[in-house]
Amino acid sequence: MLRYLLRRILIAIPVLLGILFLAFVMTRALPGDPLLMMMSIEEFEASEEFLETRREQLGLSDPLPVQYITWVGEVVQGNLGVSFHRRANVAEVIAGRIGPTALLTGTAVFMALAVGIPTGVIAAIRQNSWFDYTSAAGSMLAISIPNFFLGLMAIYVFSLQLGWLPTGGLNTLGAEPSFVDSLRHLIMPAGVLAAVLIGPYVRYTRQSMLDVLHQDYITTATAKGVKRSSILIFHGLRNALVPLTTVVAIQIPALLAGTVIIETIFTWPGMGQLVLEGISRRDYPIIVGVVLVSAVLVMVFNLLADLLAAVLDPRIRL
Amino acid sequence: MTQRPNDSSREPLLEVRNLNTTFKTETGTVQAVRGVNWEIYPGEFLGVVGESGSGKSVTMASIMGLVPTPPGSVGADSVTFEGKDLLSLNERQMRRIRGHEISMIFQDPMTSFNPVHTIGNQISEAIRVHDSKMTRRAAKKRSIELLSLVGVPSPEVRFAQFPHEYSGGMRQRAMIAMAIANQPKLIIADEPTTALDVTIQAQILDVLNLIQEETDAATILITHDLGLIAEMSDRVLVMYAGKVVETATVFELFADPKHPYTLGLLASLPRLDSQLDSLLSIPGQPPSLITPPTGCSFHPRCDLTKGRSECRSELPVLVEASNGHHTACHFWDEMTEIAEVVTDTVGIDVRSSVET
Ligand SMILES: Nc1ncnc2c1ncn2[C@@H]1O[C@H](COP(=O)(O)OP(=O)(O)OP(=O)(O)O)[C@@H](O)[C@H]1O
Ligand SMILES: [Mg+2]
Repeated sequence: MLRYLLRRILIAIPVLLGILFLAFVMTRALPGDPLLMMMSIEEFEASEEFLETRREQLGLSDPLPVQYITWVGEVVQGNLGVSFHRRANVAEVIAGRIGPTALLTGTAVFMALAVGIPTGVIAAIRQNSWFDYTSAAGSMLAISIPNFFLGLMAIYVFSLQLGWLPTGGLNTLGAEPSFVDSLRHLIMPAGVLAAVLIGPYVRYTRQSMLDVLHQDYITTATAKGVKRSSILIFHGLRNALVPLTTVVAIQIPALLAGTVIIETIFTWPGMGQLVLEGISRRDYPIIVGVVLVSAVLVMVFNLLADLLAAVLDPRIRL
Repeated sequence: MTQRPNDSSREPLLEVRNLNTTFKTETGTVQAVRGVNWEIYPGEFLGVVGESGSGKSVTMASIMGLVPTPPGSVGADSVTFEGKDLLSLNERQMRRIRGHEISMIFQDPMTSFNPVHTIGNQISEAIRVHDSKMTRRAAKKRSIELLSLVGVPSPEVRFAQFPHEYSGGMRQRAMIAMAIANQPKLIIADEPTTALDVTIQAQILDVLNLIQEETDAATILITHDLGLIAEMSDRVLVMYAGKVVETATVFELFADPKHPYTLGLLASLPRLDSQLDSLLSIPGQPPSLITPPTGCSFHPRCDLTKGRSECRSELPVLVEASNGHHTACHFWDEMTEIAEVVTDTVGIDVRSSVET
């Protein structure tokens, strides 16, 4: 177990280095000069020398390999640098954004599981029924609709037409923060984000449940006189959950990608919004910082999913 | 061989009348069981033989209400167990029978336990579903007793282990422990040793024998192994293409088979005392159950038919050839003759081959 964890961490190191390299190359390959993006009107008038000094200060005038090595050296020490645009420590900026993103994605996964697992189970039990077909069509639809479109539609219907929910933000500005208020802000972006996940969750739960229900041990349990409902839960779903942990983990990168769009549409102050802002302003440290943090998060959750699968299935040896 | 009295004045424990089970498939309706009649008496050990696909497992699944419907469909005039017609029971009443009055031991101990629960919990579950007052602790105590009864060493430790930590033979012992947990009146063992290697097979059969002597439960043993049947059964049911073609006491069946299919089975037995290189096998393929042969379903493979039209056109019914010995063959009275011909060609009398 400990050896397994150690091995996983050792494997993570070259992966992270690779990600650092890619992130560096890709940000530097972006067209546009970060200096021009961050300048005010007055600074625009400034001389070439001023630009040179700024460049010098930001370390942008060194040759690229030097920039890379200096930067990796800093990152390894836990220093993600200073945002060009915000002029603040990147680690601190990101730390302030992780909470809202975690809340949003956590809620989305929870909602998707809460809908996806029961739907998948019922679709499996009633294989080839109208419920099965409807849920399959529904999941197909949910995957096919681009989530920016779904987000805009949701805002149009629930905020503009019906007036039930706020269009965006974490809370109502100026109002007393309350749980209900936060929930009302959370429900729509989380729901839209969940829509992308539900389809795969339903499909995998259904498939995994069907596989399990055809196993011999289900017949054994029936022949013992166990109730159908208990069989479905203790012998069916319990076993079907094992592959589902992997599916949830595999979806995490897609989920984080989804937050970029959803957080922007719903003005949700999380990492997704931050990285988009970073990209449009060529704020290299922010972009690379978010990419790095996301990569670490993905790896941590994959590890957790593998550990959970091992807990759920005693045959899996770590 | 333990010979228990087959006293027909006794009430049968289970009586099956005109059982039919079909499956709808894409290629047509499979008539897996076609109007079988049989019974088993309390404490009796009934062997069931027949080649693969003859409907042995489906017959048992039909009785237990384990046939998936759809695609399956089960019908019968009656399936009477201790005076109750099993087919008319609702799901709730049927659950009280399963694992409580009738329990099953399956072929493959590797796949018949749920891999994510401990063996102990699965045995306890079998106990607790039939006794709501049984505490977790009491069920555990009883499970450990059962494990030790079937010869699982250090049962306390084994109780907490998962199926993958058991060997095949140990799992089958645990399966037997689970089957006898509620002292059922009938145990159905469907090829309980097929998936195990030979040395383990013998041990499992010893356990089954021991259990039967201890609990005096009636036992049905489904197998392809006539040697096993000879060793363990009181009476034998021979199935072919979804029908019972012969039933007799084990002694009668081996000494004086009254159906050519049974004779074929006896002739295909491997024998230590013969210098026969190849086994005599029944020629031809098992018949299709979607469009079974007309008349006697064995006639396309039968030596006895000699082209007679009855075999092709008339369905033979089970008739009593002698006391308690039933056969579904039009020409069963020619069987002795045929058996002698086989003896001449093979050089030994196949009918005495299993007298061990
Ligand atoms: N769920 C099902 N759907 C369709 N056909 C089925 C189904 N279950 C069983 N059958 C068919 O019913 C027939 C009888 O099968 P059964 O399992 O009873 O044979 P068996 O005598 O037990 O054979 P074996 O010795 O191989 O176990 C076979 O032709 C089989 O293909
Ligand atoms: Mg079978």
